[in-house]
Amino acid sequence: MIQPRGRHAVVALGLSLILATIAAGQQGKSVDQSTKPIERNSRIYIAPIEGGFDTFLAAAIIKKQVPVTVVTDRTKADYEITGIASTEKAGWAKMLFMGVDNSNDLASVKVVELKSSEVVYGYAVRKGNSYRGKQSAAEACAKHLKEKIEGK
Amino acid sequence: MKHWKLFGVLLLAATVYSESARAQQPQSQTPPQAQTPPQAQAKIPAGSKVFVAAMGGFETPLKKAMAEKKVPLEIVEQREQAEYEITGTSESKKASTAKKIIMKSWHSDEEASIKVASVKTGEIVYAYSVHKQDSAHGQRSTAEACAKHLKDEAVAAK
Repeated sequence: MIQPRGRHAVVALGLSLILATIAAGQQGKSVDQSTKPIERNSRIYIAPIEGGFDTFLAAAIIKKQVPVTVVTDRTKADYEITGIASTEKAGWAKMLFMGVDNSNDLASVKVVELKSSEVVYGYAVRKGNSYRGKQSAAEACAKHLKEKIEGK
Repeated sequence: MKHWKLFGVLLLAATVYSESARAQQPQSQTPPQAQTPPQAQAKIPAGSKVFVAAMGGFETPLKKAMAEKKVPLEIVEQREQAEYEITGTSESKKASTAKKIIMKSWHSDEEASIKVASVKTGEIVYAYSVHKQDSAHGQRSTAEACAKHLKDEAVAAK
């Protein structure tokens, strides 16, 4: 039989494992330090982002009905979105212990007003157990951008 | 002896947790996790000329899927002749050895995203992204999802 002390250790280890797993799946937080609004119906250019994340972001902006017009020509835009994104595939340990093979996705975008070159908005997201990969991270960015534009 | 018991309990806990996590996971062969852009209204007139730009090989299954799904757009080979341009990205992740052994799945994970821009104005009129886990037909599945949604949501009826 396991001694009471040992049992406590097992419980503690199990709890730590579960808590660590839950913590790993948490999303990132918004990074918003500018009070300058982003005008509704403004024209936004999305610069190429590693791994084609810019295309996912454009799709997410349309899906989330963000009140902007996405353009492909930077010279015709009022704002520019730049950023980085990365995807980490699930390792064998994650598959073995959690039974899932979802990736970890990380993305960070910033919106720059082209006229003043001022960063008006920034947002970073980390999806620890992203079922839809880049799409989830892109939709999180679009959702928060919409909230910023609508002043929520 | 004590260590073996401890190891056994930990393994059991991990297995139980693994099974509960698996139970929460949507089934792999459920309908695709496709996204429907609600903003996408019929903006592209049927019969418009579209140019499908290079997407690292994804353009070939996409053109094929557009033909199979009877998307009412005319695909042209020269960008200058086109009214709209389709650009995008696609990524295919083959099943790793760990996935084959642990998850018992040989299928790849696929994701793709396309956007349709007006050549004249540079405005993006439609965009769509799709992610398929354990895709039975690889890139073909994502290409067909893109074509289907392009037809249903972006192209105006004649």
